[in-house]
Amino acid sequence: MRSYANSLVIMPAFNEAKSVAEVIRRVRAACPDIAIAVTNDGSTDDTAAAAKKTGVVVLDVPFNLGIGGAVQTGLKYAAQESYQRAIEVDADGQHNPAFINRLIDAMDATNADMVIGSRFIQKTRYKATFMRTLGIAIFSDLIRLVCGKRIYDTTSGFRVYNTRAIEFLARHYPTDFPEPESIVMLLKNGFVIKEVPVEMEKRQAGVSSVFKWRAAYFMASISIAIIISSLKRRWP
Amino acid sequence: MTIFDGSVPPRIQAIAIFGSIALMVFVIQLIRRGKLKEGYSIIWFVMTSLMIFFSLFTSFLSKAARSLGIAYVPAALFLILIFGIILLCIHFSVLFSHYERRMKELAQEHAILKHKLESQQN
Repeated sequence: MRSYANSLVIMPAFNEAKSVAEVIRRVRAACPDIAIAVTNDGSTDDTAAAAKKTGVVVLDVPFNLGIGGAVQTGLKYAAQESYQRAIEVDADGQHNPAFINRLIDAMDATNADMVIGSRFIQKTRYKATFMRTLGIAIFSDLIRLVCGKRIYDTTSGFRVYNTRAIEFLARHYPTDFPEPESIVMLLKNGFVIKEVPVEMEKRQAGVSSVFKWRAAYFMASISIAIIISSLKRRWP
Repeated sequence: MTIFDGSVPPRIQAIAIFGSIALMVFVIQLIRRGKLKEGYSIIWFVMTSLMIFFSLFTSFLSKAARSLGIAYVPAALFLILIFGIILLCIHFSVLFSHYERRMKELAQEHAILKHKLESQQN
């Protein structure tokens, strides 16, 4: 039986009152006794109360920071409390906690600083829209172009970080398009990233942050963000 | 044609002098009422002083315009102004990014401290 004593699940939540308790229950079923920190990212519903009822740590951000700021709050908490592993899991239920162990196994078996739960390494049941598939292919190519490494699922927020990555990202975490930008930042600064196939589910509740009509706009912005973040100076 | 002889027409000069002095008075008023921090006023002082200087001593402007190949001298004033405004805009974007980052860090620290306080009280 694996010990989760040094691991913290980071769960960013924005208006996820309907799903957060169920996701916490499923995380605990997959990883008994694991510590969980929910970042309540300025929700206007009862997300904080729903999470507090389950006894997890709730980090109540006073206003909405966006997914990047919310995840970083959890990373800062993990760094301050000296956790050696942080697992990012969305509160909307699209990440199946049953795969957490597979991510941790991959981290233990390799020298990876971050392991991404990826939808695209193997054929999975995950069905994306055409625009999303196109965007994901473009981001993957762009990151390979600027960093020289192929990452298949650049927008997956289902990830495990080790101490080194936690400490680095607690200080510098991108806020605008955090998933692809953090990949670029980590690769550019010499961190090792591995991917592990997972299956993701349709979100239980809530609305995706990327609306259909904004897809093209987001694709262009994220592409520019990937290129620009690759130009950034290395952090000390 | 008096416009293209490389000088600034008197009416435009008068408007420029009046405008830049009014702007400087406005900036001073903002500082006096405590609405503009002294630190940020320096850049405005420099800009309004430059504008007053160029509108008073138009021969400098004429020289600058001629060396840039600008026939209509007041256009050089616009060029300088637009350039200055673009620089200011970039300056503000940098400031906003800086404050956004600080605000985010405060919010995150607030969330963590709030949790620690609540867990101590229980």
